[in-house]
Amino acid sequence: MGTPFQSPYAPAESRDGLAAAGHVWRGLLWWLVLLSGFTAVGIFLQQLFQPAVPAAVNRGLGMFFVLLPVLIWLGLSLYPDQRSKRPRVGLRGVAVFSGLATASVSLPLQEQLFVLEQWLPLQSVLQRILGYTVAAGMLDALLKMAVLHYVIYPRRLLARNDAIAYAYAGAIGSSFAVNFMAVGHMDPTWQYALLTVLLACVAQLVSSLFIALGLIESVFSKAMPLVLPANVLLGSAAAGTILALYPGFLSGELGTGGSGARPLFALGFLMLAWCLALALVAFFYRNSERRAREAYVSHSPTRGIEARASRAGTVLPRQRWAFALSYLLLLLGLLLGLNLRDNVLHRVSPYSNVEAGIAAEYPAGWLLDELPPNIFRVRDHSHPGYPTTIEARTLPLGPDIVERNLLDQLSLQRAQTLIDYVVLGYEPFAMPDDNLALSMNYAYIARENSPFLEGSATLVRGIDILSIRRGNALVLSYRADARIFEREYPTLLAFLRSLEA
Amino acid sequence: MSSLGAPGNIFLRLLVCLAVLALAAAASAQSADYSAEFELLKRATVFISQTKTEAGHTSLRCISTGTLISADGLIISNAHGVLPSPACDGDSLIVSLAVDLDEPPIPKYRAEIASADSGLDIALLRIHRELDGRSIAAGELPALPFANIGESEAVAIDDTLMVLGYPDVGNSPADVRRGTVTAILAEPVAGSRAWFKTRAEIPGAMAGGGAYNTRGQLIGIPTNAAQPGLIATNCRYLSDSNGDSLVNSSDHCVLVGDFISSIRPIAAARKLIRRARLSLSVTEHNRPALPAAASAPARITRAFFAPALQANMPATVVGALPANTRNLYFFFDYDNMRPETLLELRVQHDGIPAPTFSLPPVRWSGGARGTWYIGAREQAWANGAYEFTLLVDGASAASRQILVGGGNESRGRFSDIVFGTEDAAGNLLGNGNVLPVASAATARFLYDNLPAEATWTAIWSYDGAEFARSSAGWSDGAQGSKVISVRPEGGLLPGEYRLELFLGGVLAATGDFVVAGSAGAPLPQVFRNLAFTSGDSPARARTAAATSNFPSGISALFARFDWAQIAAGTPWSLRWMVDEQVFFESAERWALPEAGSAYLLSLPNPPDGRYSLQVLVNGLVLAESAATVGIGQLPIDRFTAFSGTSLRGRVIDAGSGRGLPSVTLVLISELVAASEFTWQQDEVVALATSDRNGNFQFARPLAFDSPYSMVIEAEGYIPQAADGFQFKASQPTADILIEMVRG
Repeated sequence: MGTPFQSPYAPAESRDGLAAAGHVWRGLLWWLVLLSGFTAVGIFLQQLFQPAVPAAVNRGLGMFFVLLPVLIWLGLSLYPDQRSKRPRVGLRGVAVFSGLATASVSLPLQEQLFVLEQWLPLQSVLQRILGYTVAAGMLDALLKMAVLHYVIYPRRLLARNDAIAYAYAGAIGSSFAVNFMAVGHMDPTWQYALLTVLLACVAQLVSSLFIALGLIESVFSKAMPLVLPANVLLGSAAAGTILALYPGFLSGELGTGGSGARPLFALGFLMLAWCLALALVAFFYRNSERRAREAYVSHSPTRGIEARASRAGTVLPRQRWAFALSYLLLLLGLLLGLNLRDNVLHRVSPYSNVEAGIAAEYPAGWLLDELPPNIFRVRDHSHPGYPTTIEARTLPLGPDIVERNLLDQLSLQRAQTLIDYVVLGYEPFAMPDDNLALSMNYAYIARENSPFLEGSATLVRGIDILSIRRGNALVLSYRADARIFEREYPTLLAFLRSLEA
Repeated sequence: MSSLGAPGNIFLRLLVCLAVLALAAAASAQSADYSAEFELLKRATVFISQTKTEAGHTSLRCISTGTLISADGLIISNAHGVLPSPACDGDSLIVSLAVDLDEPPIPKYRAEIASADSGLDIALLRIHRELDGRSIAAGELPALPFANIGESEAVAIDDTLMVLGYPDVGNSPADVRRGTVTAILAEPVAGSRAWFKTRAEIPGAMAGGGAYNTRGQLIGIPTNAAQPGLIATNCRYLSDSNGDSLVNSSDHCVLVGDFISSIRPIAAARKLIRRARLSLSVTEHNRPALPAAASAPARITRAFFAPALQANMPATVVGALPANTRNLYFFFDYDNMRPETLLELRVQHDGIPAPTFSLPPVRWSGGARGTWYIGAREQAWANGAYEFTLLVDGASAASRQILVGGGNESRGRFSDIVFGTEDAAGNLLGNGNVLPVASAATARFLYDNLPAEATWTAIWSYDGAEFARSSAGWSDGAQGSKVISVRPEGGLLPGEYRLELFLGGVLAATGDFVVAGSAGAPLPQVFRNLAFTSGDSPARARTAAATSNFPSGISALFARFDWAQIAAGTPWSLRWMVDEQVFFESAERWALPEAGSAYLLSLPNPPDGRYSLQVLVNGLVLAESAATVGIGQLPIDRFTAFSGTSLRGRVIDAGSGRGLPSVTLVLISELVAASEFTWQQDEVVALATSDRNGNFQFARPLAFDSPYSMVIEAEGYIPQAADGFQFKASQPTADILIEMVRG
């Protein structure tokens, strides 16, 4: 019979037999099972015994759990791979570069540019899915794809499971970076450290696997240029959905007994998510393999030739288009994310008071009251610390009163009740409608009012803008925690721009 | 047989186990409720420091415990630790609250005196400033936990008491001492329930705290009085008051008093509480300047025993009582007494101290002179010889003995003296103890067991001086009633009179009466033209037309009356009421000329209500008038009704388990679902913000069985919302844990 025929779709042909092919999927599956198992054991132990773990031990355990996915990957995937006759080159590089890209680009951008914490958690589920997809999922996907594109593509992709192995390595690197930052920053209890680690691993892996699927289709199946971007989008959406839904599963229902987190629900959700994602990816993977096999069996010359071409490091134009479209899609997604952020952060609600002759727009979600002596007041209670406040009130005006008298009157009243109230200075203030007003800057200490609570003191900065219009003295006040006074100042300006008095 | 018995035994055992479990569960539930209520009372217990600042140096002058009795910061305490006095000469009152129930209290606020009675030793304080001196605007003080006031009239002997207070000089958390009521003592100032006695060991520093019944209602104020020099061991030197950089015996001594065994029933404080709650103060514009405090030493005379009372006077006078005696009163006359005078009664039974009937040193509450009693009613007096020793400012002032259980006295008895005037037909007319100016006074009394020819004497006195005496052998039979009269030359002058009846040279009965005003029907006419007016000054109010309806928001309500034929020194009193409840009562001696007009009283800033004023002599209402301000009904005081669940708890990060500071919890009106909440204040019932440990507390209680909604939004966390957030009446406090999940 001679040497048996080996088809080009079979990884065994290019790797160390069937064992190497099995290592990728088997290692991946074991990685997920072990991580989930560890998390489940941790949660059960915590629920059953509720051990009191010293802070230092807890921190050490947290860091160990951050390393755990890497260790499992090293033991179950990388080590067997490197011991094969023809090990995959660049697995470590992909992991390291993915981790570095996530730590140095993705996480800072999510925190500083997209400021996800400020707006996303408070939105509806659909908005959260969309937000996480475009702001977190697509950013991660962009970086991971870029790493794969420039580190291993196309020469290292000799077989379909190479794409899976490299994407898996990318997920390991990215999830390590995310976990390291999350566990280091939040210092969670050890059972929540396990959950946090599992969440990042599942989200990163699912996203990576879909990217790998797109690469496989693009490289080995000569798919249309839109297939890769579609898979990248799917991966981003899957990661975004997992990140968006996970807190909902973890968060317990509020009732008269309070609310407790539900780690078992969260674990169940994550396991379900990775099972579904893995099944879906495996299905498409096998489908791709089947189509290649059928094409070969039917002597379809095209597919066989393309597969060989790929192995030779040749990049077809449609593959270039696929990458270009993917990058374009991801960049558009990121722009959409920024737009979504701005829409949410700058969403306004209208206010009008016919009696006082005032109309304005104030930030949506701020608590509005119309209690004397103010015409109205809006406060941001979602922000920690002193609630940023904008208020408007009128002061009686007499023929001999000048603007300064009115501001001094306000100061005298405040000095009676506010701690360490101090006027910082007076200066002219140009209103958006070009009217000139007088402003007074001041600061004081705000403290929790209840005597039975240990409220910490907050330095509050404020500005009063006194404008005399149509014989009325209108005082607009803006107060905020001194640490965010400047950052939130545009809110006041936006309010003033919308003001009709 | 055993095979049949075994299942039965097992079944029986199971039943017993179930019953035990059920009982344990019930006890546990009850104990949980009890502890929640107890925690609330501990939070309502405050530590009060009276401090003095001299040349920038602040030193502690006096300490006491107090109890918050309204959510807007009204505190009840003993007067001696907060009112300025030589021993407590501070200028500020600092209120410390139990922020952590297991820790000593923390100074939080400053308070001012809202109303006080140094005789009753009760003061009402109102929190009015932050600790740093900033004033607290009306409505700005967060709702504070407070104790509900109970009915001290319902307290009976052997009832369980729970006393809360701070047991030392502020270095310990609030503590509780349990005991029972061992006796209820009587005094004229508060009637038959002037003091509750207990054997619970209550440290002196807990004076001014709260005594509670088993339902957790405030029914009394543990009261003691310590005076420098009397109880040196209870003197603590706590600060460098003289600024010599040393804390030693040359510094100011902070008195903590001896162990407390007497509790002033809360009923005695009702009018003070009402006055403080309504911020009412009565000014008497004709009141002469107070005379300088008497320099003469206090004097106790004419001590005797009586088995019963008749209009605060002894029904008769006894030297021995039969077995099964249940009522006994120790009477005495006093003179030169002052509010800061300390009175103590020590009772010995067969030579052994009887703390049940003794009264530890307490402040004097009876004015400068008069007749007083201390006694007990409906209580078992064991047979034996009792010795009553009265101490004034620590020195023995009078002592008398009485034998209980020695059988009825063999001597005759006079009792139940009433006074009046006789009409032409010889009928006794009058009201008992206030007679109009007339030519003669008549007394009727009962006699019993009188032997024939027994020598009896009647002595009539006017303002302490005898003016008539009659002595004869008894000839009216053994039992009956007798009428005697006195007709002094020139008739009866206005003033205080006394009749003493002696039998065989021993005092057998005594009675006092007052002569004032002209004869009227049915009462003597002393005070006339009692009417209400208003005006922007007392001078205008004196001449303004009288009316009985006033609009809301008047600056002052004035009352005026004319008087005639009332002698200086005559005991009289004023009683102000609003909506039929007394908020002011003064008991003084008349110090103006015998006749005059436009005695003026004013009540600044009276809230809407129906006000009435009574003028009394010897406890008898001789003039009365009423007026309506505004709608004629007091506004509802929302700060004193605590019906609802006090909701507090902790917000934590689910991941780290650490408290989340500055998280705002929004409690929404039952009319709005959480999903419909649009962040408008009119939808909000209350807001609470977590402190640096994540703890939060809603300032106002949640109404029972009202389905509120709650929304919690914190940046970076998944929002929490719930509808149907309601609590039952069985849950006065709720402590919940909210785990927030990062989004």
